[in-house]
Amino acid sequence: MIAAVVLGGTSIKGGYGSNAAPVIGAVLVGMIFNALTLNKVPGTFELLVLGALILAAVSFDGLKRLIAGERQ
Amino acid sequence: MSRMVTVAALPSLGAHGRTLGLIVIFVVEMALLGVFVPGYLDLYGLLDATRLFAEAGLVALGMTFVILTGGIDLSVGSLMALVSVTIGFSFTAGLPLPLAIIAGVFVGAAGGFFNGIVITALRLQPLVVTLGTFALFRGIAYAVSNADAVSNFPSWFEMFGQTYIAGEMPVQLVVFAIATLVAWVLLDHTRFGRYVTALGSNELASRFSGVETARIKVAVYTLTGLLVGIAGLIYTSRIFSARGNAGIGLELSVIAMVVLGGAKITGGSGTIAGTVLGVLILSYLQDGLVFAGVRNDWGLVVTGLFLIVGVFLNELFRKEKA
Repeated sequence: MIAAVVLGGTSIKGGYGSNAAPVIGAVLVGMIFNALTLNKVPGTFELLVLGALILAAVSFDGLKRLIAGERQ
Repeated sequence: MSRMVTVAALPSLGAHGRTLGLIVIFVVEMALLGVFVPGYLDLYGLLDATRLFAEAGLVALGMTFVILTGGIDLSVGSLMALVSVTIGFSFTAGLPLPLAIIAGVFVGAAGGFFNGIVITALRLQPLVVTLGTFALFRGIAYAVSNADAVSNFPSWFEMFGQTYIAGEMPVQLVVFAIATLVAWVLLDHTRFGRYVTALGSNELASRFSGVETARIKVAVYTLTGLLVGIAGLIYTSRIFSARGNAGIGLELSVIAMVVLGGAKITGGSGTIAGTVLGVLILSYLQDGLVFAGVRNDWGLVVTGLFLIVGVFLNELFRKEKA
């Protein structure tokens, strides 16, 4: 769970300097994990979801920057 | 006059001096192990110990290329688990074992390719991308295996991790030696190798000189993935069991070995000879400690210390060179 909080912070932080972002990230990841448990998804899937979340977050960030770069 | 000689001698002290220094460290280490750990310096024992580090050694060869480009791959340990689980569970699902093995090694290369594509296509930091796949690959391995292990392989599967060649040579030592040779030729004697180093020292300049940097990067991560695939096969055969917790902490040892071997973590400088010496020094020290009956946890402490010492030595040598 500590890992989830830390990685949640890291994953969404990549943006441009908001102090609240890591906190929101951590809460989001915590909520998603809670929802997984409530929906009886096996615990073995947690790491997979975490990895997918990190990749989705950084990819979104990368795409955003690529599109912004192309406009210039 | 004497001052001129010193100045002229210094540049050659860079890479070669570093390698020489590592050889001295290795010899001193083995001598110390011989003195303080009775019975450790036994030829067969030392050869057998290579079983335990050929896997990390193979991955370290690939990681050398990755670090040379200025990148990093944190996902190697997780990818090894995914390779192991692919072999075990596609075999359980009914795939003939030779095909399951090919599938496993392929998954290794594909995982590396995925890292490379995401890093280059979206222009992301290798550190964050491979942190993501660090969780993702092991996550898939756990989800597929349901945290179970497979170990009902036929006995011929032992040949990749438990047999000997020419009497006393563990099979994985031979694989590691061949891979080292290939990696050395690739890095020091091909255009690809020169591009890898050039890319790490100045990416923009390489791109403007017509080097297809994205393609080189993807190739480097795929190569590492392929080596992880082979290492995963050897691991699965050695412990005769496919499991999702394979290779935990592998990335740490491997990066420590490469950095200790003199590769600059920001890219552009590093050698295969240095990496192999890094592998030998760290592995025999860990193995010697275990042999002496020191608790396993101290191996991790030693890895951490050597990582720091390695970075420090790199800085020292670089300053002298400059």
